[in-house]
Amino acid sequence: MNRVVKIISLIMLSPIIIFGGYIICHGHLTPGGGFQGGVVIASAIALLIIAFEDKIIKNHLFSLIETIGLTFFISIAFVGIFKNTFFYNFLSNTNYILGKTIYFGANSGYLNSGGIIPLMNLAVGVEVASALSFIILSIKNK
Amino acid sequence: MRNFIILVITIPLLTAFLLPLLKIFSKKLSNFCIGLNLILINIISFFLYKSILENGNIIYSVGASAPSITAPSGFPIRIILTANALSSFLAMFFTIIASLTFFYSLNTLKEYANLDKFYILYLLLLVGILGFLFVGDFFTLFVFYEISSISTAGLIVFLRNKENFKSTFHYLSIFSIGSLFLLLGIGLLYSQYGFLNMAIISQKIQLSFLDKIALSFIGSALLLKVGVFPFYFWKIEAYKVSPISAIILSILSSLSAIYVMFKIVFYIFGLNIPFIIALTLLSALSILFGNLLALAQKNLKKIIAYLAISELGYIILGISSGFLMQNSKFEFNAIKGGLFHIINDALDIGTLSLIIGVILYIAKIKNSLSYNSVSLQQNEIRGLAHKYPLLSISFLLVILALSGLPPLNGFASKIIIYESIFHLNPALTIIGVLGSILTLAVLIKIFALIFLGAPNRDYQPAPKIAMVVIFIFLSFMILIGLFPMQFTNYFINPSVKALISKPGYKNNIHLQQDNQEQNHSIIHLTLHSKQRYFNYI
Amino acid sequence: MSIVYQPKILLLLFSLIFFIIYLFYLTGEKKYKKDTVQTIAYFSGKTPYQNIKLQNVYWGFFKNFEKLYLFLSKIQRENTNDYVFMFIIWLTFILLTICLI
Repeated sequence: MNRVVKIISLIMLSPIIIFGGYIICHGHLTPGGGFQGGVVIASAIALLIIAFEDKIIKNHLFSLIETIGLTFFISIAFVGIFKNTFFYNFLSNTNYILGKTIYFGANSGYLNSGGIIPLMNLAVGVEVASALSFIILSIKNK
Repeated sequence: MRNFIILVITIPLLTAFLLPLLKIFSKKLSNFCIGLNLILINIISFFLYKSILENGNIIYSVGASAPSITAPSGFPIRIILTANALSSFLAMFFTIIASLTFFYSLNTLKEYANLDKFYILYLLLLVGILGFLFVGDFFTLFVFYEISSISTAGLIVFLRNKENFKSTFHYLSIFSIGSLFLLLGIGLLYSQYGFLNMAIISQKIQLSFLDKIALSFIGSALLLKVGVFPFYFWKIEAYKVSPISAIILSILSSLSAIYVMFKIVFYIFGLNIPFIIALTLLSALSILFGNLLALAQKNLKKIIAYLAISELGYIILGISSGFLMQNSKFEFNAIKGGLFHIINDALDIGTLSLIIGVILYIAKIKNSLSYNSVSLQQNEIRGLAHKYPLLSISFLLVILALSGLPPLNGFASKIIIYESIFHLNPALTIIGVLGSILTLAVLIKIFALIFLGAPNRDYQPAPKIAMVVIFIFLSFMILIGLFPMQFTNYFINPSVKALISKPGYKNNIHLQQDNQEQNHSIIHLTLHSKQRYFNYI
Repeated sequence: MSIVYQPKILLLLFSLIFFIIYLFYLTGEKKYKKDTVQTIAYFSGKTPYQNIKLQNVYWGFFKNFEKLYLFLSKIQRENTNDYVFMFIIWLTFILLTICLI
């Protein structure tokens, strides 16, 4: 591809990733969440793959990141078994990390609330981003 | 003890996610982890079955300690898993068969690349089958339906030819339409009653016209997954091209779909007599068609598919005719025969496909249409009985078992089905016996073509672990055949009682729902307004 | 079923039958020469019986059921539209039986 395309894709990389991260992190307050934010991040990586099509990238890194995201998801769900049942929200309503108690009624959204839901959003976002870039890479490498 | 339901489902999920990490260290470590995993699941499901026999049904809600605890302003919708004696027994049995076929596939699929991806999909399909047995609300039903159908699509396309891609495309297109109809039926029910919980819907249901439409959609989507007479097209295409361990797991998923279909038709919609009469007729037709079409086939794996269709017809015939003969003394025996035949069918067709897998591994045919098929018309494999006597003896025993001849397990379950169906209609017994005779004819022809005669070329030595797995299956068959009374008294009778009587978990949820409605009046108001709104439409 | 199915009696019967078959086997000739006329089975009548293959062992059955097999092979021609069409037709049959009866 052109030089212009390469430079502009490198410039546009950081706003897209930050926007995707914003969608992931505020998943329990605004529309969006893990899957949608992950797709946005994957589009940034797809931009890189299309612009720099003469470089050879291997697939192993994305597969590793995907498994890290997935095992994080399942192991946090397993921790809940020690308290009550599987997937129990053991961080909500404790004033520890993510568990500020929110009272009933309309408010403007507190980032500190939600329990394990933001952690799950992070895991799903990481996993979706790497999985979709894996797919795009394997289409390009064929 | 209560958490064992979710551990059976999520421990293979955890290993499936960890496998790409473990593959980096060494291949033997990942195989060892999968084997350890499967043995762990066997032990957990055995203890689950024992605790259900002592303590009664288990209701498990994911994320809360009781199913009707709600958020201060939310709806009582939770993911609920239930286990009774029948589903835990089937889970125990299916994990045993799945772990044995895993050890078999280690031996015969050695020289293919991308084997780790095959095992990830294998474990995911096992998760789908086990979760399908334990569903307690409609959303979980849809999720596990999708998981198992997409995992089998990945397993089918493992051996890559041009023919495989076409078959997988057919499979995916039919199943996407099936799952859309399932979603439509669930949506109709949810819009009428506002709940997704199976127990609450079964209490509040009034059998209006919309409910009957929903029943037909959900029933035919689940019948598509079973694979009996009208909806068997995907089965032939899929079994023709897939490796043997995928065939056995797909049979297990069809058997689990039978249980879920009868659970929904019986618990939630009451006994709908026209549907069950239709099921009886369709199963009788599938027995006839399966066996008739199997005679004309030249491909070995297609013959397995047609024989599986006819055996599934026997199971549905037994159970549905048992439901038709209510308040008579033959109801218990008919349902007992049908549930017993689930076990025998899985064992018999499993052993048949394992033996055919060993035959194809020995012969190593490369130049035919698709890599792993054999044409009986050209008779490329001949005279195996000279070099492999143990294999031919096991094939003879499988012939006896599948066609229902005395000292093996096929006879024990088929005679219970024959003698209790006779009191409904003698024509059904005639169809059943004819089906057995045609199965015998098919299998004798295969035996004579492949095993007898003089060998025409050199064959490879038989894989050892595969033969050990075949012998374990055969010993199960012989033991069940020699002691059927003890087997049915311990394992099958509690399952029949669990299927016939409506379960106690329904009453449990109902009482808590009443208490909850007094406490949170806001929920009361929102639910009632929702129902009124939808009833206007 | 309890009268018909007692597996120990069945095993005794089968072993007795196999013993009788073994007695018949013992009355055969032990010395014979391989690859001569002595090992070929004897068919009475004309000789074309020697060339019939085992694949055609059920030819009478197939000849009488030929119309059924031709009809079924026309349906299953591996066309995706036909499969979806069949699914929807059988679904309407089930719908009509449940709703109208």
